Amino acid sequence: MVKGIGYALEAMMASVVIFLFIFGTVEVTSPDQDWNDYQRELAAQDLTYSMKASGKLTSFLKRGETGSLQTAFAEISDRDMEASGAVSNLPISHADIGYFTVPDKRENQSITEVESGDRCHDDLNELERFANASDPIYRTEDSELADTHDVTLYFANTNPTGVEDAKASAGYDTLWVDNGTQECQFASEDGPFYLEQIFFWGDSNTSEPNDFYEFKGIDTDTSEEARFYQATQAHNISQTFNKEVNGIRTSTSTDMVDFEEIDGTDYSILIFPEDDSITEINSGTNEDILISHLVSDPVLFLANPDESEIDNGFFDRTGFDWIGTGYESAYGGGAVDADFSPRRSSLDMRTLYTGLNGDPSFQMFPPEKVVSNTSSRLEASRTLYSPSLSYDLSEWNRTVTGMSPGGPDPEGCGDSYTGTVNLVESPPMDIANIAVGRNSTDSCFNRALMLDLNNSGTIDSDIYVNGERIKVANREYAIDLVDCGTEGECAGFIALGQQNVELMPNTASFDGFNGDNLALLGYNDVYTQSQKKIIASSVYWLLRGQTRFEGRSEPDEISTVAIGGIDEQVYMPYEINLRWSE
Amino acid sequence: MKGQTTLEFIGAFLFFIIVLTSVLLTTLSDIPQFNNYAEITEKNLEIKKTTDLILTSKGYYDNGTQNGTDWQNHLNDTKMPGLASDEMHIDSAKLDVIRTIEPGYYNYTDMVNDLNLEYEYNFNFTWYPIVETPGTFVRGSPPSSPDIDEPASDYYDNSQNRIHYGSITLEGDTRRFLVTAYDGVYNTTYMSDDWDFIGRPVKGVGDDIVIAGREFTIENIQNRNNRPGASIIISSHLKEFGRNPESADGSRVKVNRYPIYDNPGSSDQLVKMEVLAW
Repeated sequence: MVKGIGYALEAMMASVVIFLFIFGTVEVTSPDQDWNDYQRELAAQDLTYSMKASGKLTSFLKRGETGSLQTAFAEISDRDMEASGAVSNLPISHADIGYFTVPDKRENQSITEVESGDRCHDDLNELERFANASDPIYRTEDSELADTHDVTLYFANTNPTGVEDAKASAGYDTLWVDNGTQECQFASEDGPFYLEQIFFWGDSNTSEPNDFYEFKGIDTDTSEEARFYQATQAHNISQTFNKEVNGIRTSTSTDMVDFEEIDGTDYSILIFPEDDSITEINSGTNEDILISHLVSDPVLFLANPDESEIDNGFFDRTGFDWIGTGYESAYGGGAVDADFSPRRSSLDMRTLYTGLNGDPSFQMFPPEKVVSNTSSRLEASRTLYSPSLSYDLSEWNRTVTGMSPGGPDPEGCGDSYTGTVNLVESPPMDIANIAVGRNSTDSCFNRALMLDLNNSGTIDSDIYVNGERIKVANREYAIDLVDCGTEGECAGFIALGQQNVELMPNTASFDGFNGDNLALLGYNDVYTQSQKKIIASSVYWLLRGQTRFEGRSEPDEISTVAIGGIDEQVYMPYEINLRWSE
Repeated sequence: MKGQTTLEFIGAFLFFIIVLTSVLLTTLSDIPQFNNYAEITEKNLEIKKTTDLILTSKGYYDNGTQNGTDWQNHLNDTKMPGLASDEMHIDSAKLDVIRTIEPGYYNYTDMVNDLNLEYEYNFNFTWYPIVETPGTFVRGSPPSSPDIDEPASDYYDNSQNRIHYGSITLEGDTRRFLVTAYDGVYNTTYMSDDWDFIGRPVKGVGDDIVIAGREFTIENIQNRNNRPGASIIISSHLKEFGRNPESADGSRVKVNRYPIYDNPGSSDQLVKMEVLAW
């Protein structure tokens, strides 16, 4: 019986061993390995590499032709592989620019129906071909504005279709310009212009400073007025946007806007020119409208704000600060020499500016004494700076002499002096020049400084020796205990920081919300070509986000990356990340 | 007593046999699957190794007294038939000398021997030039540089206003293209050897065109809604060699590679290299 149990146990053990052996052998690898994915990944890597190596990738990206790229991938691969992805560091995405119009540049012009006896009454056949037959043609009335431009505008109710930027309108929406010849002849450059389009309202034989306007609206029912926003500066700057950047074809459109339009339209970037823009922002709920844009898209100011505007209202919520010193050299206003620095942000700006064929020697207008305040101390930043004009930080230097015996003596040297220093934007602060460094002969051979940093009435800070730095009221000082006067009885505070005037303060730091980038350039009525290129470069720089393109189907886990560069006026590196689907 | 056995031993032996039989029955069905999977794995890995080799190596010949990478000129002494002129660039001169079987050429069997291929292969090469057509003008107002003469036909006159144009050079022959749209879709093109398109026939997707004596098929005209770009993709079959895939028995594995076709007188364009192994 016992022997039988032994046999049974042996048989069971043998069975278990065979069972484990067979299953352990057969299940060596999983048959679930997906060779299909492997083949697709290989194809995706080849396509990405060969597109780049053949120059097709760069050629398409220079023109922003992500569609051509996608079509080529899908067509050449027999699996109809499709790529979606993102292109970084190239200004190829279309940008809708909202250019704010300050109130005194919004103009109304009275209009009247063209009637029998009017100069062009019988010569408007060209317009009437476009217009609804039942609606009369209107024209501008004589007025100071119309007389200034010495031209007559004609308005018709047409039904524009497929016209970019034209608002669907059931009413009057189109104008023509009868220029200085006043001969009722309308060439193609005289119209038609539709709502939201910028047109030339002037006589090319004169040199008016405000010749370009955007057609904003017309009321033929009650007020009989047409509304226009002056757009000369925006038009002049936008001409720079029409130029290629490093051989890259860019795409932008510029609209003159007010806060109602900003509130109702998504713009890629907003530009606020002139100090009056700041006044408008700080009025009513406009600040909230601006912030709702800024949380996702950048803003550029062309303004020269004063200290009050930086310390109050919208700018008080930004990282900007006011550096309240004078200049090291005489400065009477106007443009100053400008340059880029080795900082990453500055190199990016330089790349864009060079890509626009910008002159290496150029000038910009300082936006007053605004600084980015991006470091741990108040100083100018160097995205764009002036090598020829500097803030005089020595105005913050302080020297205390004739200090009185006594005060803290942490090392028992018995040689301390106290005094009071008045540092900038800080209440009077008690300080003590103390002896330290007791040696073997029981003499103290060094001097140090202690301060009442928290203004508690007790000098209880750490010990600072000569040359060490302290930060008080957002300013940094080097401590001088040697060249301040009678050694031991004096203390010097030497202000530290970058002094070159900052020409493009910028920040992404805001109080109470996370926002996109904000930049400030100095304002002038007229900018030179180089200055317009700096403005264009700053817009591209602020828009430096990725350009994304989507496929028709959800991408799967296969992804490839290509890193290349466009080498024209300057080498502009790019990165394209592709995710593949089929 | 010798030769005796016990009932317990017989019972245990039977139990062991039953267990062994049942285990074998359940696992034997997995063994062919495992073998098949192992074979697919081997084929994929061999295709990858083989294609990597011929797309990255220039190949070489050696006749004992001299050697070099222009093996296409020394077919009898070829030791390794790499196709590359550069990394992932196919040298058209090397591709030209390969045949399935033909005297005076480098034959498929030579490749099998030189590359020590374990499986049967079929290689298929198709050229996919992309004609970039970024130029644009309004129909009726062609540019003066280049001096474009538009087609003179009612069909052209009824196309949409925006016309695209561009050119491509293949095998030393430059062809110019106009691309026209109807109902919002860019779907037709005109080709010319200069910028004079008067009298040129209109072509669409699927139509054939001839450049430098080679026949191409218009595969696609870039037309993605809201996707910027203007291009025409054409194709021409370059070569097929190897075993006839219809003779394949067992599982076939297909891998596509996409090198660049390095052809004198042509801009760099992609090639689809389809590789079947069985």
